[in-house]
Amino acid sequence: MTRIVSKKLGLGAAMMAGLVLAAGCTLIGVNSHRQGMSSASGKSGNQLWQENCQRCHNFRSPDTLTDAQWGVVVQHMRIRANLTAEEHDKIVKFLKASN
Amino acid sequence: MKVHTIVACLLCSCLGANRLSSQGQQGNTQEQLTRLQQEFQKYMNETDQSLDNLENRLIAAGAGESSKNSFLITGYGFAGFATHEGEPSTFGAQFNPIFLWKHGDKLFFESEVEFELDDDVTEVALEYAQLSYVLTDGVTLAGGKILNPANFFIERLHPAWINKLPDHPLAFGDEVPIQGESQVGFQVRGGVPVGPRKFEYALFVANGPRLQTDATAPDVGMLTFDNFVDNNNNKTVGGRVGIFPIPEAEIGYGVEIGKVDATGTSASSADFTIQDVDFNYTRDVEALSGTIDVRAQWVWSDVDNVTYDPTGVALTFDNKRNGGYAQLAYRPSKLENEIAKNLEGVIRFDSVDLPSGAPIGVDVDRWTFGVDYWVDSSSVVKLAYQTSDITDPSGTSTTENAFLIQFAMGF
Repeated sequence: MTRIVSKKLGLGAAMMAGLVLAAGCTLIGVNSHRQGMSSASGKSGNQLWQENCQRCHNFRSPDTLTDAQWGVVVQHMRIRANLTAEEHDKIVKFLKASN
Repeated sequence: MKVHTIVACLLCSCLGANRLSSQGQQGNTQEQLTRLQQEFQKYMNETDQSLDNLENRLIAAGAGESSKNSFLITGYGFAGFATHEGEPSTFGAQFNPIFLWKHGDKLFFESEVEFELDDDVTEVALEYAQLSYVLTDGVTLAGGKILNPANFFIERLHPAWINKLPDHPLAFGDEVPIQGESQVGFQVRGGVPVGPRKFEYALFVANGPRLQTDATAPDVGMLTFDNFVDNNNNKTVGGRVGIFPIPEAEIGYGVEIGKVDATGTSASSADFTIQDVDFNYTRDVEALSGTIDVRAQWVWSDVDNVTYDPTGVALTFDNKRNGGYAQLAYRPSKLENEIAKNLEGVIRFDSVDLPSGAPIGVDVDRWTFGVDYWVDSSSVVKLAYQTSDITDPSGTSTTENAFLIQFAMGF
């Protein structure tokens, strides 16, 4: 049983290590991103939309919903994804201007 | 457009008539022409304004919007097929409408209803029904049946059009869950900028889980999370904090602590603690011509050791469980080829370790290999092969394989 647990821990550790490695590899070039890594006040609505939406799912094209519908959806996401007020306002403004 | 055409025709008629009647009166003609041009421009402006107003009213009507209220039905559904080794293969389907009401800028209500096929019945369940009030920029109060804020997979990733594989990781699924999907209670949550970064938090108080105390039940000792009407006065408190070391990544820690009713065992109640960590990272990578998506979440559960059926079989065991998953996905979304750019490869390892002294004392390690084809941004066809290594308390291992297909759509 101990051997099985050890094997399982090793397997899990290997998988986690692989994921961290994969994430680490893709962090190459992160310095360029660091330029934009500031509070929401330094980012455009487009940038905030991509960062926050893609963190969980594919982002839908702005033209898939009307202005009023985006107002409801982004308020929903403000609560679910803990967007700040500034992030919410910029994303709504961007989506309404882009659909 | 028709209004513009009519106005233009009327103007042309007026101009033509005016031209005929004004031969020899060149001085007046210029003045009249200027006046007509001004009137025409005025009509055009009024018409544009009317059309804008009409468009706004139609948009508002389409979204169920009045002056202060906005309503939207969204959600997701799927059709699927699954064949598990040793079980009959079956088709399946599910429909999850989500209802959203926005009342001004502060109040918001959201609810998801699930219609699920199970054996010979259609089960209807209230997945969540949450009323929220945005108190300040970084503080939202919410209550009702809420998705478990400590469980990132369930709260953010479980909808079929978001989850990249046809099923849930075992620890966050329906069969041997270690962490609950929902809580009935209240929460305070929000996102707070801290210097160049942001952190998010959620704190809740809720009914919490129940403890299965029936020693004859195969799941004796398990926490069950459908405690919709609480069976004791002890409430569960918990929460989650998440940090964003870089914009594309989030690291979170969640915890729930409380006391469950243990009537029928050697104790009247039992303390429990559930803790989990999660890691999420998604980024477009030019060098890979696509997007990589890394997810991981692990949960540990610890319930006080009690003796079940103390006057009978006197079953007791070390009631600690853990499980979780790690997942890597890659989609070559930057490729030119229309087929290739919509394909996504997914590999997931998930596992549960259950107490060896419990009736269901197995440990399961499972690998799932999937290929998705994205029809559009929220519609996906998923194919997955799954192999599970199941070890019972005696150390005997068996392997079970499965093949899963799912066509999911978010709307």
